[in-house]
Amino acid sequence: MSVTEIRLTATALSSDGIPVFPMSRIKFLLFLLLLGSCTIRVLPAQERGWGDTWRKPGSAGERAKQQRTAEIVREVKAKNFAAAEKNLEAFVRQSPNDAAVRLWTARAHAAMHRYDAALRDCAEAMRILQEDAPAAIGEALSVRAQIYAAMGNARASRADLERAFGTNRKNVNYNNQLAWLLATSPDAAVRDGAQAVRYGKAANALSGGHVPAVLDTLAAAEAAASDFEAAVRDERQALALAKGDKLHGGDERLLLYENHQPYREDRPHETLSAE
Amino acid sequence: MITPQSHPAARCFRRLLLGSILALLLGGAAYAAPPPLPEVPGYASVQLSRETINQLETTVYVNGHPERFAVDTGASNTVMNEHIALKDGVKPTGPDSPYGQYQYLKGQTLRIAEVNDMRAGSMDFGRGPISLYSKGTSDILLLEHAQESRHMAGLLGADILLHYKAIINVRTRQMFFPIKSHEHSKLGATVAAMGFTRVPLRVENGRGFTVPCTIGGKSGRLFVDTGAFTTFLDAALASELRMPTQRTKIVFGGFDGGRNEASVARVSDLKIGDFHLPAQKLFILGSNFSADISRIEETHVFGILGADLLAAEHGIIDLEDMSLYLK
Repeated sequence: MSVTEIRLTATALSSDGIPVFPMSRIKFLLFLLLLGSCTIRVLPAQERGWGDTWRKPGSAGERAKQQRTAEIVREVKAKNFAAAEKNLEAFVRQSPNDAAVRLWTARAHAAMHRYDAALRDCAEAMRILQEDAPAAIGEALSVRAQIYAAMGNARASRADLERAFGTNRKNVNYNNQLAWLLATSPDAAVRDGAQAVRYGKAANALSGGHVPAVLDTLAAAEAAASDFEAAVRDERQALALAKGDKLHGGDERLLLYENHQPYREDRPHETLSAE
Repeated sequence: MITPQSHPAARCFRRLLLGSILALLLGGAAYAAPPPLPEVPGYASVQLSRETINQLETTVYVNGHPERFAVDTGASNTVMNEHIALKDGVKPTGPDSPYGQYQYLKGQTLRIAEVNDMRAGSMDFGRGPISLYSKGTSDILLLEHAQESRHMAGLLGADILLHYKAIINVRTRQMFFPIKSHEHSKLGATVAAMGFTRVPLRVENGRGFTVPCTIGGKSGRLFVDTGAFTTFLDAALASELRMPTQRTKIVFGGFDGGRNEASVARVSDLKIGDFHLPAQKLFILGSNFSADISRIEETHVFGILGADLLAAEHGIIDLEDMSLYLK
């Protein structure tokens, strides 16, 4: 029985449960059935499923966090850095021992090009993780590597990523980040096409061979190793899987590989999204 | 508006219904092997079984195909083996899906898919998203371990359990889902009168369920995890409280893919809410037993309340009332 039908039943009954309509109970039930089925045809019944649970934050903490991070993202995008900074301070005050919050604030500071503050956030996140969850230290190293890369310090970035990789060799993200840096770094001393291909292939295998961003990285690595045929093939596959969605610069890179040119990234920009 | 639910006959029926539910939830505790689960009006019921590693399992019909799933309150999402899921006609989501296409979980990328039809016992879950797990590429060790020993297809996680307000009796291996709107049951009051202690459950970030606890005069929280076959406390806490521990040769696979040597300690003053646990030996694990639990804000997580203690203390996890009942 649909929700609509239940509501109809309730309004059609008197206080003692007898139908108020001047008709027999059987006719009344037939009437309800007919009315109910008509209503169902007009208003589609709500589909049964648990998808809502995925779309909504599960806890009060998550709801508050989502609201605050969305607010900060808006402020950063509007270049209202003073307001964003105030909000970030309040965010940290609210959750002083949450390493994930510190890493998010590090990203926010990097997006505002406040790299000293971003590195301080990373250091604090590492301190917390070292005490509470040393196995997760790689997460902080991986964020700091991105900040170093945005600062133009590719060597420090590589060192952090290699440390992160050392904590978990099966981590897709660490493999992928290392492959990207070694393939696209502007620093020739850091670039290593052959190594980049190894990390890129590992990331691709670990993620099942169907993640567009990982295939995009593998293509960049293959181009860095002068295997342009493979680079074109994998970039095309990445674009096909992404269907033009969330693969920034993929078309331009494909054009480069088709012309037997590798892709070089000057300095990656930190892009911020709400938690 | 007068509704049929408030009619005296309906109230009487509700009392009978409540009595049946209580009889099912509580009565079965005395038996080692409960009889097949009868249907209870207003509730869908699912019979569970407890296997060798204290895991609660049931048969879930995925697009009509019967598969074995573990009921895991510690898993934030329902997860399924990718190979089995694709065989059962589960479709990976496309770029326009509201659930996204990929999920990043502890360094692993899991593919997201949608099940068209999912059922267990007399419960119809309908359709919804799940994460797909590929063997050997993930840290979901519980599933990997279970798959090695038996044909386990997935984990029935907190997303479905919370959405449908599951009531899980760990001891009697029964699970109920309210399927019709009715006044809130008096389960709590009745269970309390029968000697059960109510402990409030809280949903944490990532859909983890925790309960308050105290030990050695310190207050913290314990994760309620039916997927953990044993209860354990954090080694850092044990060291802080100067608990005498004994090393063991037992090695646990960690959530991070690492291996942790366990020790044991005799714990005599662990209280979960107002419920005093009898003195007993508990496992103590290194502080890196989870990479995520430290992310609970302002809360010290002391460890995991696993399926062993939940069963021994007659645990009923009531997500309708957000309570854990212990006796």
